[in-house]
Amino acid sequence: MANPLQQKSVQRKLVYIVLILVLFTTASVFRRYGVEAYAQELSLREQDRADVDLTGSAIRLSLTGSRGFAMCVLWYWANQAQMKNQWNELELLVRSVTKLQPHFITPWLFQSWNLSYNVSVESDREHDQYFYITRGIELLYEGERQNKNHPDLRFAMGHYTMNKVCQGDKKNVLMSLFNMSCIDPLERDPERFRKLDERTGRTVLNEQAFFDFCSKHPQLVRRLRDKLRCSRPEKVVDFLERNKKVPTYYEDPRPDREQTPPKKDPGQRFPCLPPPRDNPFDPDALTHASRMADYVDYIDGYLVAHAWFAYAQEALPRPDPVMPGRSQPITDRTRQRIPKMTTLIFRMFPARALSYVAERLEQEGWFDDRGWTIDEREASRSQKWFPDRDGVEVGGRLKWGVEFWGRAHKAWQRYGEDNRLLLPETERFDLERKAREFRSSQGVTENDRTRWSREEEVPEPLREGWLAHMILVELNYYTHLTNFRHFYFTSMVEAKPETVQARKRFFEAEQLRLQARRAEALEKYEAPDALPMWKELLETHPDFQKDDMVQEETYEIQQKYLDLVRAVRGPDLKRDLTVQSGVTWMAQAAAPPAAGPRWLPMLTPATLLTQPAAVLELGLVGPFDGNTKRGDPFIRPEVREVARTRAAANRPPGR
Amino acid sequence: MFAALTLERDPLKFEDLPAMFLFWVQDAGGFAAAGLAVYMLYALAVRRRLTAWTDSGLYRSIFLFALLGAAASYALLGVLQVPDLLRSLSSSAGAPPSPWRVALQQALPTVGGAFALLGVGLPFLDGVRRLRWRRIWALARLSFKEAIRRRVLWAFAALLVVFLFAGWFIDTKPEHQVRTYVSLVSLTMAILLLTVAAFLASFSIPTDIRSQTIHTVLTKPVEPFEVVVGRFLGYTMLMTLILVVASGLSLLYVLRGIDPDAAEESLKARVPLYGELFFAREEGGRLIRDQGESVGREWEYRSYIPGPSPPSPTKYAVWDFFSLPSRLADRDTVRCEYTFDIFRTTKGRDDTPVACTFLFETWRFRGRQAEYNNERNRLRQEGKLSIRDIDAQLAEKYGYYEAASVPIADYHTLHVDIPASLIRNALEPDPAARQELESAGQPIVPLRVRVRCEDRTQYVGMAKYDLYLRADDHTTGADKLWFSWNFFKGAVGLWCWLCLVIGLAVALSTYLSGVISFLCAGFLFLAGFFQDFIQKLAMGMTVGGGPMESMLRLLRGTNLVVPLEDTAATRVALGSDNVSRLVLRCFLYVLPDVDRFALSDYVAEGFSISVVQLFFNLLLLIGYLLPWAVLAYYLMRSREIAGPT
Repeated sequence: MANPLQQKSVQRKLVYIVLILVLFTTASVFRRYGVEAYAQELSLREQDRADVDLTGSAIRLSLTGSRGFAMCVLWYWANQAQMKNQWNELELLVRSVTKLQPHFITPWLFQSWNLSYNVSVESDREHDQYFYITRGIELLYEGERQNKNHPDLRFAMGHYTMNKVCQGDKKNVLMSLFNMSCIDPLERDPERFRKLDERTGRTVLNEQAFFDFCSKHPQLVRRLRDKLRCSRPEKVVDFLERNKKVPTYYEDPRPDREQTPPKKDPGQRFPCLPPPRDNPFDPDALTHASRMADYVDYIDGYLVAHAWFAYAQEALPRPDPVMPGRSQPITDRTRQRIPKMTTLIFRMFPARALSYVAERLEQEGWFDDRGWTIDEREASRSQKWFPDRDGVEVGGRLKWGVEFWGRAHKAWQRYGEDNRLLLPETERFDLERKAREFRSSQGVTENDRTRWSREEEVPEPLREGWLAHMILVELNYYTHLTNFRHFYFTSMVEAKPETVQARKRFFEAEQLRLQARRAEALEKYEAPDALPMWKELLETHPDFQKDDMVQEETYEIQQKYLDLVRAVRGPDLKRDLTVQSGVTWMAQAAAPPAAGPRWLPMLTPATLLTQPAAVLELGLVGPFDGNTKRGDPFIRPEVREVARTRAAANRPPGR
Repeated sequence: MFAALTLERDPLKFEDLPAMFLFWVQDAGGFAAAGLAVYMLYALAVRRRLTAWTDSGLYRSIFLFALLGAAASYALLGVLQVPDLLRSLSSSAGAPPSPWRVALQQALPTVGGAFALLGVGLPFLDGVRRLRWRRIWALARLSFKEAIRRRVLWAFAALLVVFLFAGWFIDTKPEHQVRTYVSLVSLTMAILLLTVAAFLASFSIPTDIRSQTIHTVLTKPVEPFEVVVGRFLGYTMLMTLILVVASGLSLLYVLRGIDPDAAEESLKARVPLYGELFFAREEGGRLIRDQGESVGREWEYRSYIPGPSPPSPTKYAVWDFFSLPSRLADRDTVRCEYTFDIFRTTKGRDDTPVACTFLFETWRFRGRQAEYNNERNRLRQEGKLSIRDIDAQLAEKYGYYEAASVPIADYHTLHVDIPASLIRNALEPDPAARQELESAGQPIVPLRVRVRCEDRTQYVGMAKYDLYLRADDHTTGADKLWFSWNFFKGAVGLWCWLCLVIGLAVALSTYLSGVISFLCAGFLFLAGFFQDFIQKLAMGMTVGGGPMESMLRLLRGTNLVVPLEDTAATRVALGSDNVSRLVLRCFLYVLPDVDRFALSDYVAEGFSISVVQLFFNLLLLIGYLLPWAVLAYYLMRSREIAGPT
């Protein structure tokens, strides 16, 4: 038996052990069900805020209190490296800066912008430019994964992709490189398109392989041919060769070079796409789980931007169900944020990106499922790429115009309805009636704000009228702020097959005009589904016709048409005009002309004799110079003036 | 800028040696004079003879002569400065100083410095005479073994971590692979080696003193300065060994799986032959010296030439090569490499690069352009020779070669291969032509390269080191081998840093405690990286003024360029900044020129490090460490524990 002192010591130790166990168990339970649950709810844990980055965490811990100092030094060095154009050092420093402050979004935004915008333009080669654009976007993507539910980061992902790839000075090259990023590197391997001619011992084009490539990637090939002057297949292959090492969606090909290489991890691949979600804002938007093969022939920066813009919407509070342009209060602060930009403008970008996709397709000549006839322009056999496959069309997988304008229109409609910019007719009449009563009782005009700013402050009897008035005020304000009517009605009309057909004719006519095939171009313009169809569309869709941009475009179409008329029919027209003017002058001298549209101006015999060239200038009246059946001018004088000024500004000097 | 060696300061040449030596005498002499003054005050205070340190009459005489010489020189210099001081106070222009006064003002700091160095160096040399290499070697070995026993080598395991995992985090542009890897391993090695070296060197002597082992050493017939030298050599040997091993491993790391594009740009050891650059405009067939243009870039390293814009004269960047090695003439072609910056003022055509024309002409060409063109056209029409052969033949005959409208890109090394017959023409002795040029008073430039931009509205930027001839033969196929050799030469730069840090730390530790020595050595070394900035600060050239003025501006929220209001606070701030500038100017002389030793950029960009550079690195190292060694000698002697036995 131990002595009493030893017994007490043992007892004390037992008490300590029990106490430790109790405290440890309590702390564990409290941590598990108390602290951790609360931390999870508030997204305080690293894994709730972002993808966990162990190296970054280790570095931050090792720096202890000197992180601020290290940040300053690294930022200073980064500026120095940038000033001296030491891009590889800059990149390393930038990555270090973001590693040290992963949950502060400004360094991510600033430095990714820096790489994509400032650094990329320092390089003269488009290939190098593209590299730094992608590096900026990839850096931002890393930032987005480190900062979940941040609408601004997601928005910037879309904006950089769209803005830098599809809207810059060198968009044709950059969009082509973007397409190449999405294509399996084996498929675009230039060696595939070359073979040894056993007869001559020289390397020649592998026509079958090249034709297969054209069939699978018609939009890329067409852009290279039409916009980048790759007039021969060999030049296309050279372009593929020069830019073989673009940042890509796929791993490097395996040494056997037989199988398609696997896709890179989502964090490594380019283009970067958002992750798949359970309840996405737009189920049709791309994610990194989408099958690239399904859209590789038409993917562009706009489509990727659309995916990001749609993803960015998911981090916003819902739109207010009553007041146009407003948002509901934030209910979950860990998952909802208000963006830095005006929220309503922020919300319109998914639809805007889809409109851009449709515009881009039409600008590059993709209208319907007829696709592209590769050698349509070439007359001689020697100039044809595939002389034995004359008339073969590629790229007619979809009715491009109808499909994408349709998607855009749906997106605009949803945007309008969700944000109360598009009110049902009955509701609008009802609101206008109530608002009118309110205004007359309170003596306020249509767009006046009232003395009450909140509904609760308004006396009960006036409340309904006040609300109707305020809804209409906000509706008017935000409709103008977002230019919603333009986007909505444009997409609606552009999605119609007749509009697409008319646009296709204008495009074909323009292509012919550029090839100096003026008579054929004129024929295209005058085809029933071209200018007459366009006129019909303007007549039947007043909201579309009244849009300034549509009117400017109509004016430009008309000018091109009239130029062709002058060039093709000039001599005949001069003669006819002179004769008719003489006759008209004599007739008008005898009796004044009746009111209504005239095709020929009044010319005096003196003018006819002294200024024969002016006869033609004054004598042509375009199809859109008059008024619609409703009595509105097709093109308002002020719009005409704007278009004329812009045309003059864009004209090369000396012409 | 990638793919070109950016040298903001010209590399040192043998012609710079006399000037370097004079500056060194002035700088080190200034500190020596300050030391002598302190010593004199000390001797006066303790009533000790100034020459008590020696019994030799000769030494005493030389010492007193040096002391008097230094005092007289600096006193005279002070007297000569008085008029300048008075003029600056009265703010009147006054008459310009006479030439003899200017000459004296320039010579006296050197003379005074030399006397002071003699005065300080004499006891030091007397002490050095007593050193014995056997004892130093024993102390060096002891230091080596101690360091190994302290398991400092474990610190280098961190290098393995970099080798193993860095690749996961570094995703470079393919052509930047070599330079990124070289930068990474250089940085990692520098951080690890320098930290360990500073740590070892700083704590060795203070630890000996604290643990009293130094008494055991010094009771033996060991000179105190032998401890300092022994420690320095021991640690230097250890770190050299580690550096060699680490460099070998790093080289293996860099060389594995190199991308062909990166190998093409950087996996080389080019031996560049640089010319002298000037800008010129062509008027009436003659080149007239002109300025390159600024396109508004913040970094003004390059000047720009515009594309042709008639009627303005065409602008050229001209490189004159004054010496051409004769071995270049034995090749088929000589490679001329270049990297220019492109500044576009308009978009230009998609996928179409800017073009430049390169005109190579030897001193014997003398403007026979029409004759050359006619013969070239004739030969082309005959069709008997290929274009290449025609150009080679005419280059030898006329001394002219033209590469027209060559597409260029920035951030890539591009090249033009010129026929070696052009070099043969340049090296041909032509007494008649030589006499003609000499009588016309024209310089004989063996090879001149003119470059003009061919794209209207675009600018091309150039600096002296952007265009060079390859003195090495690029066709040997031994690029990897030369790169590897160059990699080790690059490690010499790091070795110099190591010596610098060890030398500083050991010298400081003779008087300061370990931690303070470590911090001081680290501070001096790191401050050496910011020498340019400190110099600007000391000269009052920084935007926003000195520290106090900057603080005032911060507090008042005043813009950097807005003049400050003339208030009492402003005057106090500006006055204190002036004082701090004086201190900084003195401090500048203590800082090592760390950047001069850095050679990793040469390796990373694929440029060979010449023996001359290595020689100058060593010379600078010795020049910097020698005063510290003298200081360490006196400090060690001044300590109680360090009496000679």
